[in-house]
Amino acid sequence: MHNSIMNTEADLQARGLCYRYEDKIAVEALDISLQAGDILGFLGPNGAGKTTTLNMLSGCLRPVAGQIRLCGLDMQRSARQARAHLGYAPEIPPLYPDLQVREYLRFTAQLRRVTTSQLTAAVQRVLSDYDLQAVAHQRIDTLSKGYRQRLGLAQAIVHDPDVIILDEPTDGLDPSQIRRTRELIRTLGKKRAVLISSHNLSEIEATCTRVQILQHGRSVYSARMDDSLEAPVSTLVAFQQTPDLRALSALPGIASCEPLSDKRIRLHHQAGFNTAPLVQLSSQSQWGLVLLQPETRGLEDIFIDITTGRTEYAA
Amino acid sequence: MIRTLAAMEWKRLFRSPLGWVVLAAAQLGQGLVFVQLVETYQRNPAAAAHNGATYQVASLALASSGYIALLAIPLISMRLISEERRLHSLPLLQSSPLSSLQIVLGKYLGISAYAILLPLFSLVMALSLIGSTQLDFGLLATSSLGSILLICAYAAIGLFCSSTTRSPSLAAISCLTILILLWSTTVFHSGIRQLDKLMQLISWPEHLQPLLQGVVDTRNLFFFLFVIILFLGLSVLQLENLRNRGGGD
Repeated sequence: MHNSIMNTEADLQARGLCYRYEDKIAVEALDISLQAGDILGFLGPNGAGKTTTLNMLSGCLRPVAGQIRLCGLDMQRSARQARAHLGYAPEIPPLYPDLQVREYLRFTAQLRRVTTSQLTAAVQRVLSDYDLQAVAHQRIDTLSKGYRQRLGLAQAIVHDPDVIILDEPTDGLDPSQIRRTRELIRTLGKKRAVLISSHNLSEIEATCTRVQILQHGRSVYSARMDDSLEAPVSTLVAFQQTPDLRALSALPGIASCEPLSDKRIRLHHQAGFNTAPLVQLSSQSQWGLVLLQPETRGLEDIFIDITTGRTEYAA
Repeated sequence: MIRTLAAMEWKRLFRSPLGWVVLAAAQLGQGLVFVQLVETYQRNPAAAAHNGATYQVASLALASSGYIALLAIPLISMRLISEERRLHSLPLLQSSPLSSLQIVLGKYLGISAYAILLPLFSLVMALSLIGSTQLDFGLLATSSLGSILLICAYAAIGLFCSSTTRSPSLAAISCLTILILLWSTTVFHSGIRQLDKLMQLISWPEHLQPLLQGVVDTRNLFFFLFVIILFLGLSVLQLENLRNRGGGD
């Protein structure tokens, strides 16, 4: 867990969130904590409760139980004040087709209490950030899907909010727009708390600093990207001679050995495995070590393991 | 916030062809009624002498805007919230620092500002008689007040109907049904005294007619205000219900 989360109140904090659609439990006992500087990737298979959770966090849906605090403000008791700190881009951009782009952005900024003196500058900033100047005076119903998607993102940040919630932010964008949007999200995430829900695992890997996986409405995995995803948990080794598997298994930190052939073995171990004893053993036993390749588990591996029930992780 | 939303609703009404077409059709209808009333006034001097030009032409012209609005208001109010739900734009308002009451008031003020144009057209036509006859400005004021309150009550019912469904056409039909019912209860006769009295109590003409005749009874004003507050309150509850059970997007 992020140290600062334990010490100070997070910008977005949800505790014990629950929601039920009649008899079906959509979200249960869900905790989310997000600090300025965090970009949290919210993952889960279809029907895991991601959209329901985002709707609750954005104030569009009232939780059955639990509490949401935005910048220290309770979303129930001080709903309007809390939502003033929020920028939300739903999966389907909330656009008015009969308005022009600039007009729409001015309206959304005014709704979020941007003062008249700051209005023009705020709109100009997002028009520039999202490359929308060329269509600023165009009606929204004449825009392509990519422009609409970018406009949906622009309205979420026009008022410079502290907490930004983005549902599938790069859906419908072309590769160069995806790259540009990821850069923008990373820039936003330096000073603000950003939560992204996406089906695209590579996008979460490329953009987020933390990841949380949801399944059946519960959080089943939560970790910082650099802690859990980049630390190798297996190492591929190959020798000129056939090694002794029992001797390899006895090495400190080794959980199991998975022979791929006589001379190629995958060693499963904890994160932070020290390879020096392995190299020393190989040298002493004259096995002739020719390959020592740490294997990093990608987000996709973790996601598949969790959602198929192969592995249990701490939530 | 309410003003921002109201201004946007007003602006968007004039962005759609429907807004202009409804206004043009209403003006045409009211214009024809006005000409007819002037002609009737000229042809029937006895009735004219009895009722006066203000009632015979101006008040009845203002009353006609209530009949024309019966079709116009459902058409223009149908998209207020139902279209937000259909286009998935309601989350923009729900995630903004606006309460459900502010959303309802903003939309209501926007649509009311548009709807009031209908009796205003009739009023302007009535004022054109200033040069040719002596007008009773007191009667003109109460008739205008009655027509404006009636149309504001229509708008509140239209807003509520729009909040109950994703389909604008369904919202328009349900609004029209309620408006017609509240016109027709005045001719309801069951023989059961209490029921007949209740039907009279909730009928539009029962409360509009005295105002058209220059009688300001606070019970009639209260009736229109009650209808407006009731349906705005129901719209707020409906938006809160959408926050509780989802479906707002």
